[in-house]
Order: sequence, then C-alpha cells, then structure tokens
Amino acid sequence: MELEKFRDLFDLLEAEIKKIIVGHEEVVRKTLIAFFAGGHVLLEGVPGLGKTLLIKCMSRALGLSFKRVQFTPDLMPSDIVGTQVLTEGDGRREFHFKKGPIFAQVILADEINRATPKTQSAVLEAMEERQVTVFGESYPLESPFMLLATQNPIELEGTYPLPEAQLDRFFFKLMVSSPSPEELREILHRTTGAGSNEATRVLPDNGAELISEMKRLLRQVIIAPPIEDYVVRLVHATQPTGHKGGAAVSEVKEYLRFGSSPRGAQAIILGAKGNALAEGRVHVSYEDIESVLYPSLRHRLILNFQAEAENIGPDQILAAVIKKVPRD
Amino acid sequence: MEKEDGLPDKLVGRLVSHLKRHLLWDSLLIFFPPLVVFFYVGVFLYRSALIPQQALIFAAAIAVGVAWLMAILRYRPMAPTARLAARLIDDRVQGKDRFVTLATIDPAAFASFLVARLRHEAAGLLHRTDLRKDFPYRLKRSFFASLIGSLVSVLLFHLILEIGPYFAPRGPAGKELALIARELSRVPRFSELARSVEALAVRLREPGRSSQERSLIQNALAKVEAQLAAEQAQGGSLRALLSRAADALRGLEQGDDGSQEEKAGGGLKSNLPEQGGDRRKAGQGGEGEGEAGVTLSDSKDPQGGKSAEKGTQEAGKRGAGKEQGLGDRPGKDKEKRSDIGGMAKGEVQGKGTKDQGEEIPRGATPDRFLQPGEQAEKGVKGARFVSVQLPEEEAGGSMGEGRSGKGRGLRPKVPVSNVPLRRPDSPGVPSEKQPLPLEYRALIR
Repeated sequence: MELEKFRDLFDLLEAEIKKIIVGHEEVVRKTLIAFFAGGHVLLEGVPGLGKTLLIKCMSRALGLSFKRVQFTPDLMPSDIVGTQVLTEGDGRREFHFKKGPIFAQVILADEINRATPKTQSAVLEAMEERQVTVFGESYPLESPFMLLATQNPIELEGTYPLPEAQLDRFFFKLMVSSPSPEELREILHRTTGAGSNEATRVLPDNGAELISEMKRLLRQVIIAPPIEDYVVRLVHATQPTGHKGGAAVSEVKEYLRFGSSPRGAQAIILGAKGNALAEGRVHVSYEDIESVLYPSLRHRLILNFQAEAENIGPDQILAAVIKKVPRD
Repeated sequence: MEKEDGLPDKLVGRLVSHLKRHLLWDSLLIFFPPLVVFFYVGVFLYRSALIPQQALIFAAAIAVGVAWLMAILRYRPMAPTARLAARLIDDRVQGKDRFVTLATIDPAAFASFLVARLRHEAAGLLHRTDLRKDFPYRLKRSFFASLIGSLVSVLLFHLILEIGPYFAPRGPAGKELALIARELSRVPRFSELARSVEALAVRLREPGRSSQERSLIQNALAKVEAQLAAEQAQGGSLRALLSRAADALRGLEQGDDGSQEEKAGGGLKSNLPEQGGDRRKAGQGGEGEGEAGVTLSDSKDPQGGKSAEKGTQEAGKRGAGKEQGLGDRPGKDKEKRSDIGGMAKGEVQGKGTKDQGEEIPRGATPDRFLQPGEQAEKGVKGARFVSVQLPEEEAGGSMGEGRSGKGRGLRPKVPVSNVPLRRPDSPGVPSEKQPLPLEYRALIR
C-alpha cells in the first residue's frame, strides 16, 4: 500500500468520526492509530463525554461488526465469551457453542472496572491471543479485532480496579476530558437538532483487506536505531531501581513501585509508527515517540502510596522522564 | 531523481568532514598558544645562552610532537559522527529526523520504496541549508582559555626571571662570563671580543687568581667598554649585551680584589643585602700600613669615579645605609660579629664575587691615619666607612687563618691579613684597604 492511500483513508476515517464527535481530536487519532497497530484501548473519563459514541462511530466508519457489553458486578465470563448450550434435533441432544459478544470485531467493554476480576479476566485471552477457549475448545476471533474499554474515574465504590496484567494488555490508555465551551456549544448544536447522529461507512466492501494492508504498512515504517535506543532509555527510566541497579529518574524512584513492561516499549514504537503515517511520513521521529509516550505508558506505571498521598499521577512522572532522558 | 536522492547522504558526509576540520582546528588552536610560549621561552633561553642550540632544536621538535599528539588524542574521541552531523542538519532544515534516519538505518532492513521516499523527502529539504553559512567556524572558549593561560605563563616566566636571581644561589665566577661570551660570539663583529672573554672565563674556572688573570680581566673590560662606547655612539642594538659583559667584568675585577684580600685574611665580610639592579658589586678590602690607623670615608661620593658605576654605587649606598640603621640594635651587632668570625675562618670561600653588597671606598689615600682613640676633626658625621690599617704584628699572628678555612692558629680579635702588608701606593698591589662599617668601631678600639 502506498503512503498516500493510507493517509487518505486515515484522514477520511478521522473526518467521519469528527462529524459526530466534537473535540477529542487526540483521542480519535490515537484510537485509530491503536486500531491500525492492532492494539486495544482503555478510555477513561467521567460519564457523558462521548466515549461510547466514539467507539460506535469508529466501528461504523470502518464497517466492522460492533458489540457492546455493559460490565456489571453480576456479569459472568460466559456472558462475554459465550457458552455451550444443549440443543435438540433429529432426536439427539447436542451441545453447541453459542458465541458471546466477544466475537464481534469491535467490542465496547463499558465500565469494565465494575465487573468482577473473574469476568474481567475472561477477555484476557481474547485481547492477547485473539481467541477464546470454552470447555477446552478454542475459537478464533474475527480479524480485525479490537477491544475498547471504558472506565469511570469517579464512583469507585463497588468497582474492581483492573489487575496490572490486564492493564498491560491495553495498547493505549486515553484520557477523555471535558469539552471546552466552544466544543460544548457545537455538541449541543449537533445533538439537539434534526440532523443525523450516525457515522457512515468510509471503507469500501473489501475493508478488512484494506485494514490488513494498512496494518502491514504501519509495521514497515522506518525507525532509526537512535530513536529505538531513545525508546529503550525512556522505558528503562521508568524502572524505580534503574537499569542494572543504576540511578533512576528521581521522580520515578520516589513515586513508582513498578515501571513499564516491554509491552510498553512495543506500544511506543508501534504507536509512533502509526503517528508518523498519520502525519504523512514514512519514518519515525523523536516527536512521534514523545507524542505516544503518555498513552502508551501511563497505565503501565504502578504508583506507590506516596504518589497516591501526594496526588501525583503517571503523567507527571512521564513528563519528568521525558525531560531527564536525553535524546542522544 | 536517483541522483538527487543521493544528495542527503553526501550532505551528511560533507558536514562530517566540515565538522572534523572544525574540531581539528579547535584541537590545534588549544595547543598552539602553549606551543608558542614554549618556543618563546626556548628562544629566550637560547638567546640568553642558557641552553645550547641543539637542546633548543631538540626541545622544539619534542614540543611539536607532543602538541600534535595531544591534539590528536583530543580530536579522536570527539570526532563528529554521521549521526551527529545528520542531527545538526535536521535541526537546521527542520527535517523531522529524516537525515538522522537516513544516516543510521540499514536500507536493506526496510522496504525499498519507503527508503527511496525518505531520501526523496530529505533531498527536497537540502535547499534550506548552506554548510558554510550555517556551520561557520568559531573560536571556542577553550582556545581563549588556552591563550589566557599561555599569556599568564609568559608573564610568570618573566617575573621568575626577574626575581629568581634574588633567591637562586650563584654559580661559579666565570660561568656567567662564559655565557656572555657565547652570546657575543653570535655577533660576527664581536667574535674577537667573544674569544677573549671566553678565554678569560676558562681561566677563571680554575681556583686561585693570579695577577695575569687580573690583567686579563682589566684588558677584557677595557675592550668591552671601548666596544660599548662605540656601540652607544652608533646607536647599536647590542648595548644591553655589552653592558652586561662590562658589568660582569667589573664585578669580577672588583670581586677579584675582594677575594685577593680574603686570601690575605684581611677582609671584613658584610652581611648587607644586595640592593638595586646590580648584582655584581665590589667585595671588601683592606689597606695595610705599617702601623694601625683609622681613616674615615665620606659616603657622598665613595667611588670618586665613573659615571657608569654611579647607579650601582648609589644602590650600594642605600643598602649600606639600611644596614647601618639596623646595626644600632644589639642583636644585629651580635650577628655581624659572628659573621666577621665566620669570614675569618674562611667559611665563605669564593664569595668574593658573590657577596659584594657593599661599596668600596675609593679615593686618595689619606695623608695620615688617625691614631687609636684619636677623634677626627669633623667627627664621623656623614662617614660610612672607616679604613683600618692593621698593625704588622696582628697581621703576622694570623698566619694560617683566612680564605682556606683550614687555619690552626689562634683566632685574632679582628680579621687580619696573612700576607705581609705592602704600601698601598706600590704598583700592581691590590688594594688592602678594608672598608669597615661604623658599627664595628668598637672592635677597632
């Protein structure tokens, strides 16, 4: 695939989503980048900011099947992955696997932190292996597959914070912020009028093929060894003990229990490649790395008690890391 | 298009060479001022005849080699890489790391159409930079630091040269003369003069001083003074060198007198510090007469002579005056007495030219020496020296005492000569008049 074609399609998708979603340009772009990089996205924001709408719009614009699962404390794993049901036909009773919503191409796991850990873990295999196993039998998921989860930073009572292992499987964690007054005016204008509030399909019929070509192109983007080294240094700088017991960034040492896993570095590089393509370049620059560093690593940093007490967030620590780790 | 696509790599290569040249200049310029200072010091020492020509050439070669080696050692680890050059170009043309990427990737590891596109994009940015304009050579702070350090070194060198002689021990009598002879030999028209000075210097290396050597010194001094006068008349540039030679010879001549008298055991040693610019001041001497007597020398014009020596004598006066003031204190008197005793034992052999901090009273021999206890008509006001004529019996009793320091006789109360005293007006006889500072008057009485 040519770069121009990728960029055209990407711009079309972005424009289509922006027709419905007001503001949140970065969230939209990063969500699309994560999609083409083959990752899953965790969206965090207070209710009513358009998280669910964004995901719906995206799946519609891409022309992919979409399912939404509202996570609640009584949700069972079988409610997500599916279950064996006994059927009767031709005088015989047989168990048939009834696929759950996880078998759609775009899944919205709404308020994922309200389900029990057992249910949350039901999506782990799907996220990583792109398959689910029920009663010892594995069922591959349709490609492309993307899970978008939302969580509410308030109303934490009765919630089950996602375990680190599951958080690590999210490619990006995107923060959905409140709209500005201008954006809010535009939202009101669009949603309270007579106009349509639904995105239209952008990709042609062979969309899945195109998507897979776009994904391939993203992985071919050129990245220079010094930039890869920079990513390695950044990720190592998030380790509180430092590389080989060496000195870490002071903020990291003070406020982190654990730093990023190698998945974080993978996410940075793939995200940076997607960002480069989205900007019409065939190579990754240092700016691409820094632009995807926050969504790639913020959910992979495990804060300690002191950080919680002092209300220090991962973004502040990452800002210090970027500042203190030299590019060369 | 293919040709154009190769340009980014070439530009990076050119910038690497450009920066390497800058770094080489930096490295050379850092070591250049110290090298110049080294040469300057070397040439200065050579012109002062303190080092031979071979040593200068050898040291210069070593210095150039060391400077070059240091420059290379500094240059090597700092040599700019293609990556650095590419980064600089990226910063300059806002290339979004295109040049860094091109300079560091293995093109075979990536899709060729993407690499070609990247090269094409980079080539499109080339017009935004001009290596000469964007990366001009500028003198670095390290060079200025080196320059300032070198200038300070030169100043220190000259300062040490100026004050060093006041602290450094003196060499043998003829050494400086030999150095001056070497300097003179570099000037063709002074070659004959140089030879005679050199010959004199060689003779002076041997211990002991005969009347023949003294006449040689006087001859050489006369030649040098004649040459100096000629040079002054012509306004020549070598007056300083000739003046040095004349001073050295004068010092030797006067020191010779002193040492001769020291040999005779009649010299009184002064511990006056050297004053003024002349380091070669006369030694002390005594004048013998048949009977003891004391005469006073006026300090106003003790030399009664040459204008060329006047400055030296003035300086000497200042030193003597200072010493006299100090001498009023009992502690100082004691020191001086012990100094006299040391001298009598001959502990300061060869100091005839070294400790010549006092002026020699000159002038006509008085008609009559004062008798012991007799007061001068005008008193001692304004006088700085008394010349003591030692009695024959005292002189005779001091045999074996004196310069050699190996005497076995009794130590005399006052220093006396170990040679028969002759009349001072007899020809070829060194002055045996002993200038004695006033504070020693008590000794005489």
